[in-house]
Amino acid sequence: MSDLAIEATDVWKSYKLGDTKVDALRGLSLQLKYGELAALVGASGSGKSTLLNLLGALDKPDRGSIAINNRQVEAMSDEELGQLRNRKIGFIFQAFHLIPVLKTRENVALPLQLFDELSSKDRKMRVESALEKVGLLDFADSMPTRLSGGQRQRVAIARALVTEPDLILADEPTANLDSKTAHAIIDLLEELNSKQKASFLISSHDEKLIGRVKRVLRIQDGTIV
Amino acid sequence: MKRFFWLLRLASLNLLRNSKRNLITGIALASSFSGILLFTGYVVWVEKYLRANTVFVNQSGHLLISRPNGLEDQLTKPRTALLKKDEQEKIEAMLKGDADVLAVGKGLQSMMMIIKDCRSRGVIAIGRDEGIDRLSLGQPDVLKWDYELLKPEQIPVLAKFRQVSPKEAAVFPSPILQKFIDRKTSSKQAGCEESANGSLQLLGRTTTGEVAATDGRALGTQSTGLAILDERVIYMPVKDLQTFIETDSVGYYTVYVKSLLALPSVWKRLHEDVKASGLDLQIQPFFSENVGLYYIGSVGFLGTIAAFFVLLVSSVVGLSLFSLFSMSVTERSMEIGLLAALGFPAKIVIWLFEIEAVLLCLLSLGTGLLVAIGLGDLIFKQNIRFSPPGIAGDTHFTIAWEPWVMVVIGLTFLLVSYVSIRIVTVLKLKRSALSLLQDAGTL
Ligand SMILES: Nc1ncnc2c1ncn2[C@@H]1O[C@H](COP(=O)(O)OP(=O)(O)O)[C@@H](O)[C@H]1O
Ligand SMILES: [Mg+2]
Repeated sequence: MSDLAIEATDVWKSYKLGDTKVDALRGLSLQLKYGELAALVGASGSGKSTLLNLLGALDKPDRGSIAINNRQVEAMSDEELGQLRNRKIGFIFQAFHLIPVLKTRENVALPLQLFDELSSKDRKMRVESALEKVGLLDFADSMPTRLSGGQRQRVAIARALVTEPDLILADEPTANLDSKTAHAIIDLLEELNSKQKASFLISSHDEKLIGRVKRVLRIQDGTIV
Repeated sequence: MKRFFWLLRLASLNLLRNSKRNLITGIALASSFSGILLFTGYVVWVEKYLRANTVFVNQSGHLLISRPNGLEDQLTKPRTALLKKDEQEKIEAMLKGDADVLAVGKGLQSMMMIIKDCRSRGVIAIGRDEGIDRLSLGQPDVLKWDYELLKPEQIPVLAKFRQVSPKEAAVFPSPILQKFIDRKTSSKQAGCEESANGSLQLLGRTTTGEVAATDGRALGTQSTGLAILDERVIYMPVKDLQTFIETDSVGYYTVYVKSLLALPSVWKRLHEDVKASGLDLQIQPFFSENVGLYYIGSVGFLGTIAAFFVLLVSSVVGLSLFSLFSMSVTERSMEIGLLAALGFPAKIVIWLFEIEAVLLCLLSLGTGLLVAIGLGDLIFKQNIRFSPPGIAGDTHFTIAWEPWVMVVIGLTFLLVSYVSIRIVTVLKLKRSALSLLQDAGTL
């Protein structure tokens, strides 16, 4: 067992666009330790989303190997991938992706619906603790449509935290926010990382945002440079 | 179970979110369902009306026993077509003690002429069994659906008449023939004096071919309920008709069962008994063409139309649900993709949409049912008179409810809706989380 949350080796991924083939990732390799936080920075189109989708077990590489928690993703069935995503990975999306008809607390509780072993009480405790961590406990019973962009993204972060995953992936979590709010979100993620045992990988096309992050991975044309 | 309630809650919330569009689809579904229910309710009424009419009012019974072709031959070849006394005894013995049999009646028909002053008219005289008349007046089906056709006052009228005048034959002409009888004579011909009201002469032939003539008295009208029969039918008691054509034979026996469900077994037993007895007899149910031509013609025709409409309308409903849910599923790519990304199996996401669809259908069908029942009641209370094709005179427009018919239609609607939803979900939801989120354009 290595102490790596992510180990990607010589990963290739291409998309077909009509007759042409677009190589989104070209032999990319990457390692991320448990508890580590890294920023993935690159221009639009450099392959950030493609990489995060692969690391998040939403997609499989054409070639190369990806291990999450020391488990090879390529060999897994769809069902196993689903379980991996549900139990071990927390996603934070650029567009928040909250379900509009559900209250804040219900949105946060969403991934726990598959945690049959948790009692309602334990669920409630977990949800409230996650909301507390992002500072939104007071908004637990609000509808997401009533919240500001920054608050919505905090709800999404709480939803990623609630399953106590080993890996949190955030694909441009600040791209839909103004710069002040964006900085606050990055600060929050760093703070959470320092308290949480989970590893964080945060992508951004904005160099200024990640000024304070210790480890920065630069991606260009589908490889880390 | 916990997850089911969670899905149910999410499904209801989603239904409310798109409330306008769902409401429109729901209204379309509810109104087409109630429309279909009302139409089939009318067909059900026709069925009940004509069944009670054929079986009880016109005394064809649930089963009619005659010689092969006896129903027609009794008019033209009565000597060979009628059932003789010894045969009657055998038939009665077969039916005696059958617990499923409500009653057994006798019937006889004969062609004759009715003469009023100097006018005459060829008619078919149908012998009524007074016992069956008495029985029919207590039958729920008759009282409920054909209450306008049987005249309860006839029986006492007949009894009184018997006491005062044994020499005249009692007749109950159809309303059309009653008009013929009532018309004042205009002929200046000698001997054409007007006779007393209601008195007339009957002219026919006995079973041996001799001329039979007697005085008759019209005691009241009795409609057959069917337009074409009313042109040429008079009723009289079987006994009076037997006396008139000088026979103790009858044309046919009619069998009334206690419950329609028992009909097949009674029919089968009777068939076997007839076979064993060696008698050359034909047994026909009320829905055979010879016995219940109007019943089977109308019910068959309307039933086919109703079935066609049910299929047509439920397909249209299925298609509109298909497009509604295709739209919802497309609109909610993000939600679906999110659930998939969070590790929800496709099965659960499919359930979510199916529960939503079934919920919408059940709510709409429930509403449609209530609306139909309310309208049916309202229509009845309006006391609308109308003349359905083939039916004599006019009648009270009624919608009748038959629970199993409603259940079958409801299930057809549900099934068609479910299949269309299923096609949408299978086509659109069994995709990767990634492609769904990319469809939503936000990954
Ligand atoms: N679904 C797709 N189909 C075709 N090409 C794609 C698809 N997703 C990404 N690409 C292409 O792959 C390359 C990398 O894209 P992406 O990973 O989204 O970059 P980034 O997130 O850094 O903007 C781009 O050239 C993009 O056009
Ligand atoms: Mg991207």
